Amino acid sequence: MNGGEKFEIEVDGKTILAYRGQTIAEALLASGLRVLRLTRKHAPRGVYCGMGICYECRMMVNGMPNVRTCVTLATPGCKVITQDDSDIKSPKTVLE
Amino acid sequence: MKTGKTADVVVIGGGVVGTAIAYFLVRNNMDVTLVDKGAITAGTSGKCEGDVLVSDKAPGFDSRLTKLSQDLFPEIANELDYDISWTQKGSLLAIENEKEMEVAKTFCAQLAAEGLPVRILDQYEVHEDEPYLAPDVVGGMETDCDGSLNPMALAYGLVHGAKKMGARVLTYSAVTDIRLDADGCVERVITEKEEIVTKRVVNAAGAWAPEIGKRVGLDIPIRPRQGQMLVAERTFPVARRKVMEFGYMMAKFESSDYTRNVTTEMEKYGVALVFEPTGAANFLIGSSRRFVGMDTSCHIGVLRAMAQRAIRFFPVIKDIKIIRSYAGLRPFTPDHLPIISETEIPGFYVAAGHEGDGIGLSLITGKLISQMICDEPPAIPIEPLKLSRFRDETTGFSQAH
Repeated sequence: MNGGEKFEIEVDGKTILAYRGQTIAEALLASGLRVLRLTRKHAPRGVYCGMGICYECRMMVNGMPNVRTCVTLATPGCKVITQDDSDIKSPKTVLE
Repeated sequence: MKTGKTADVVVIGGGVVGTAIAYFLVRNNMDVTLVDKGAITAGTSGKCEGDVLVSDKAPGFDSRLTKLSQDLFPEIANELDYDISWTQKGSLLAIENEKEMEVAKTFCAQLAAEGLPVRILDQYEVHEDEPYLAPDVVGGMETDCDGSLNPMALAYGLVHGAKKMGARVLTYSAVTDIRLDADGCVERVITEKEEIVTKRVVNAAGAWAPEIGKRVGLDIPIRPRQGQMLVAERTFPVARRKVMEFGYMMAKFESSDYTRNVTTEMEKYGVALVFEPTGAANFLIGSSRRFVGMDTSCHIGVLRAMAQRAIRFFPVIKDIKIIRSYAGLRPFTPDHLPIISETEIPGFYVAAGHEGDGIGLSLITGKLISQMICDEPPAIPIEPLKLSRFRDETTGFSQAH
């Protein structure tokens, strides 16, 4: 995807680029990031269905856990964190 | 049909109450057969939450009975070779406004006088305790001894424990008849699968207890009261322990002319906040109360009202997904106390009608019935629990129906 408005988003403290209209999952895939979540037993999970049904691509977005990144648009400056299902962090802790 | 089976006691009902009775009886060296028309916990015990609370009980007999039961849980949890997810983190009643705070202070003092570990938290303390509570919540009542568990695991744990000590368990075997001898005493129980010769039957069939009572011509004033629950996805700990709203207690005890600031729907369906974290990092949201017969389907209006009430106390819940809902039948009695009692039919006992307190009162019910049957002195005077109370009072059975 090219030509649209370009902005930065933060993923686990690092900056990547996203375009307006792109979902968070698309921006992550375009940057080569494929592990979005760890299960309770720490197995990696990424985008699977890509349409909001399978819940595999859940990440913490702006502090909230369980956000389906394949149906959530990237916004300038949004903070995305790989979700660890064995220890889901509280938004208040993450944002501090 | 198999014949020739015998038992000292037949317990009817495979919920937490029936399984607790079977467990205590067999621990007291009785030969017990537990029967149920379906599976273990197929009724109310599989469609509820896992509270073991004293904080929502009327100070006095009700709170004493509950505390006796609560004190049995650590011991039984330890004794069972089965994880029942027993935790004792305490509970919090959230106080919405100054008027509730006034009543809460009196209520708290009464429970404290009963020797219970309760205290009032002010606005600062309550938000330190539960940071996701709505900022306008003015305080709370904390009860340190309150606990919770997995009710299905409790019943299965008790069944496994009872079996190990020699109890027999007969599931998917409805009781079709209970025969009395020439003197009107219990003689045998006839089920779909077998006939059991016994001198004693305990009716622990909960919301289905009146049906069992009819087999021996006994009127049991229990009505099914439906309660619905929402299950949230696994997420962060929105609250670290059980949270309920104090306002509902005021309505429950009719302690004043206080009316909560709630929607028509919430009022109509008896909706009050119950938040319960589970061992699997999900949480449950209740609660509702409706008389709709034996209907266990969920109603969107009730679910919506419960969700709205939960969001009023924990605004963050609006961004958390609900994955499931369910409804169960709470065995309601006219005076909100269970029936744990002998009856006019020698050998026929009733242990039912716990409404929303069946999990919490399961163990004391098991103990009291076992004491009754084994001629031991009861752990607490049992007059208020007798079935005959409904015939003695004007507020009894006929009026309640």
